[in-house]
Amino acid sequence: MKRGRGRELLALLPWLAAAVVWFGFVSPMRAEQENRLSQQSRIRRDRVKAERELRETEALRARIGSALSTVCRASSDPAALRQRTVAATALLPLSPFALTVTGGPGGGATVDASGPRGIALELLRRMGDPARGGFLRGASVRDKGSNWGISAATGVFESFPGGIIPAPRACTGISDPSPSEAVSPARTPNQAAGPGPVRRAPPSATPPEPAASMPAIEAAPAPPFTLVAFLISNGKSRVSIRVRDEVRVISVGDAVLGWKCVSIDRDEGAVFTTPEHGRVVLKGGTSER
Amino acid sequence: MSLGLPEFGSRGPADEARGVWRAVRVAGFAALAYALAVAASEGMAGSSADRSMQKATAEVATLAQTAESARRTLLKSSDLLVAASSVESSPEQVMRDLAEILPEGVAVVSYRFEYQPDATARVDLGVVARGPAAYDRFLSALSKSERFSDIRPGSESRPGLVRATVVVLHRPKGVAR
Repeated sequence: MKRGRGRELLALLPWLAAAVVWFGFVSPMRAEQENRLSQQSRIRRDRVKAERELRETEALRARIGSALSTVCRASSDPAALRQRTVAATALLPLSPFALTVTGGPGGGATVDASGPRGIALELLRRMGDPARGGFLRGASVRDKGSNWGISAATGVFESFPGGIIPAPRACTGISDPSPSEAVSPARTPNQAAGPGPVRRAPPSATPPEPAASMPAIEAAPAPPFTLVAFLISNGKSRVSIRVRDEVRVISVGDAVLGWKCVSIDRDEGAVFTTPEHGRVVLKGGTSER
Repeated sequence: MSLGLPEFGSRGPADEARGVWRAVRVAGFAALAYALAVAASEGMAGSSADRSMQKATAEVATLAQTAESARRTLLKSSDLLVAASSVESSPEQVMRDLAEILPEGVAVVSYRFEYQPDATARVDLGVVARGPAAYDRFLSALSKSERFSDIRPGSESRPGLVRATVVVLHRPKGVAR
């Protein structure tokens, strides 16, 4: 009897071992295979997502490189910012014109101005020109009938973190607008309301005529600088002048090449005195001795 | 008729049972062999799949890290993104693109440009249209244009002249939708 039971157990033993192998190893491995398939699918999705992000980032870098190919590095020092912004208004008859600057990182200028359509757009173009070291953060343009009012906030290219674009050259001073950039009301008549391309004056073989409202100095001897614009900053009147290729912003009491500024008034003009030549008044359009 | 001698020629019930159990045992060994073979095959396949998956995971992690690092570098330079957007979607360019699609009887009287740190340009337009039909034509032209997207018409005043505001995103030429 015992011998018979032993034989039965011996016959069932391989079945038991097979069951242990199947349920202990094969079944868990098959379950794991399903997990593996879902993991592979997740990895595939992650790969596609990462590749897309990388592609988008590369495309954005390429866009930046292409858009800012002419950029130059400028200073965010308030005085430099002011001079740069004032230089952007050169030869543009804008009235009124108000300027506020904020120095330091993230600094820039805020400009409110009004003028004929072409002039207003030219100012926006100059302020957003990377080749002048600045860019537009935002702008608003409003059609006011004969004139367009603009309000623009600019930023300055001072640092270039991350090596996204190669560090550019420093901006070389504040240059005059080229003859082709010079826009005068006579050349750019006020266009009808509605959008349209900005018309620039064609390049001329002869030097451009000074705009009608540009400051002029009639009396001799003329001071070695010209008036660019009147400014009000923190409630204080200032004036920007062009000395050779440089635009400077000065206040009452400042001296330039021996000429001392004694008063600034938008209506009365900026008064400069010198011991040798006496007194000169520079106004937006005329000068008096 | 029994002669009282043992019957050597016939099998008893014990022999039959032994044969059955032997067959069961042989079948059991076969089942065990099959289970072992399947376990070995699936184990090897699983191990190989695990190795390739680990490799793929490492590759994807590297790729994701590179993408994230590049994205962070870009986000740190938000001024560059704003600047690029302001050059690509300059006021002049936006006005030119609008002029191409502006239908008759509609004029844009104000613009507000906001250059965003994600390199997009948001433009708020103040529109005056001769009538609702002209304004609808303008909206339709805007939505068909490749240069403008995410069009959100704002407030409108009627009847007579329609004065309305529309917010759009300007998409410079060559930038994918």
